[in-house]
Amino acid sequence: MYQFFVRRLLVGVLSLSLMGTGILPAVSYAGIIGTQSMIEMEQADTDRARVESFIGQDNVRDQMISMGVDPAEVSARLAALTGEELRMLNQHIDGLPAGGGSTVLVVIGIVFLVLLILEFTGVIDIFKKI
Amino acid sequence: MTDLHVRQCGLTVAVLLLAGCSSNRPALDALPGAADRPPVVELADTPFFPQDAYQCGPAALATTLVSSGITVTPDELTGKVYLPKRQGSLQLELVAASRRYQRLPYRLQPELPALLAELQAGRPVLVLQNLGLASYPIWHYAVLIGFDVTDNTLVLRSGEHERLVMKTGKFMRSWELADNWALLTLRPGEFPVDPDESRYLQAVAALESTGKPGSAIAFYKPALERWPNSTLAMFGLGNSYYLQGELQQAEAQYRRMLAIQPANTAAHNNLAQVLADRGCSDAAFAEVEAALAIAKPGSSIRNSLLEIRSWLINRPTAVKPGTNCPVATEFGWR
Repeated sequence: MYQFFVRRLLVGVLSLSLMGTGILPAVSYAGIIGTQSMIEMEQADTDRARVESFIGQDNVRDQMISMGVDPAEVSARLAALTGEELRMLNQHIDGLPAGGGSTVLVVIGIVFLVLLILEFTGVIDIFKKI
Repeated sequence: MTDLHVRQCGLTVAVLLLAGCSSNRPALDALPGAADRPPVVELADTPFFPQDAYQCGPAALATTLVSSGITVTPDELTGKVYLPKRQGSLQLELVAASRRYQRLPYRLQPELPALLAELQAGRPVLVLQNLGLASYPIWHYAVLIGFDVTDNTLVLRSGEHERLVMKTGKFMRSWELADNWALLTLRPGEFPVDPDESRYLQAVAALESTGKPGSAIAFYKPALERWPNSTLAMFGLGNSYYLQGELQQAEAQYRRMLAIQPANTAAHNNLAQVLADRGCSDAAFAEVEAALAIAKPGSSIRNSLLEIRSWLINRPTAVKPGTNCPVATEFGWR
């Protein structure tokens, strides 16, 4: 009994600490089926998904660091993502919407573009040099 | 092409660029639920964090987190959500960062009335907008804090504007181009006005799986009060208790779930694990055998059951059959 407890405890502590470092995808623990796993089981092939997110995590880590994220922050950021979210990031980190736009620049940009089009097509004539 | 044609063409392009906004969208007073809506709502107490360059993600998230009782600044969030090379923050990471503050990121129904209802209930709503074009997007996060039915306008904390007033149609255009994405960061026990049970519980499960079983419990318990027959909530609550080492509470939830779904192999598996942890080998065996009889061949649940069984068989120090193993309930041992 004692040995079993120690083994389970070790597995638990180890997986929790690995989760913390982001090495292990946070989908499986000790001997119980995780809630997230059960949901995913109903939706897809979990084993495949688990392997993908396991591989995905390393890719995402590299991509995040190459995108300028402080390496000290990456693990905690990855640990807060579910397996499904990791897979999504792994595939689309370049294409997902990244909100950051500054409104003033946007408006100036569009107005300038409009004026330029009107200028070139001769509707208005405010840029004397072009 | 004559000169006139060129001019007309230029005008058309210019008009299209300036106004994709002129399409027919219903005004606020024509939206469903208009009768129950006050003419003006504004959550004036909502904090305002003026945005530094490209930092609308951290600023908007700080706004809703502070509104939900967390002490945090955009600067603290930047390291948690900002992607420097993309000059912005991803929705997924705003969602993940909310979890790190024990708040439940809940995506609202993609309809304006759902957002208005939340404002009425006193909750500001984080939204993603596309201020550019579908083909040339300019993504921006803002926080919706109010509406004025008479003026047909919405009020936002946005970028460097503490109180940006936008025509409903203009907002709708930018929001629709961002897939109508709207997020709440809920406190434990807090529910949206019209919650979707499955989406709510999946959000809690995500909180649980990202290493926050303690806060998951704080969300599961009120969820079970609201949806007393939700087996997903029972399963999740049981698992969260198990991760916290509270075996009796975990066992009680698995039993409660099996009373509703006797053929749920995952619940049998987890109950068997708890019983094994307690040293109740007979009872654990019974659960494993019951589940193996119905588990799909090759499934990960079957593999897990086999693993528990092999441990029960090979255990070095056997618990003697007939050991006194009381059954756990929510209220104690039976």
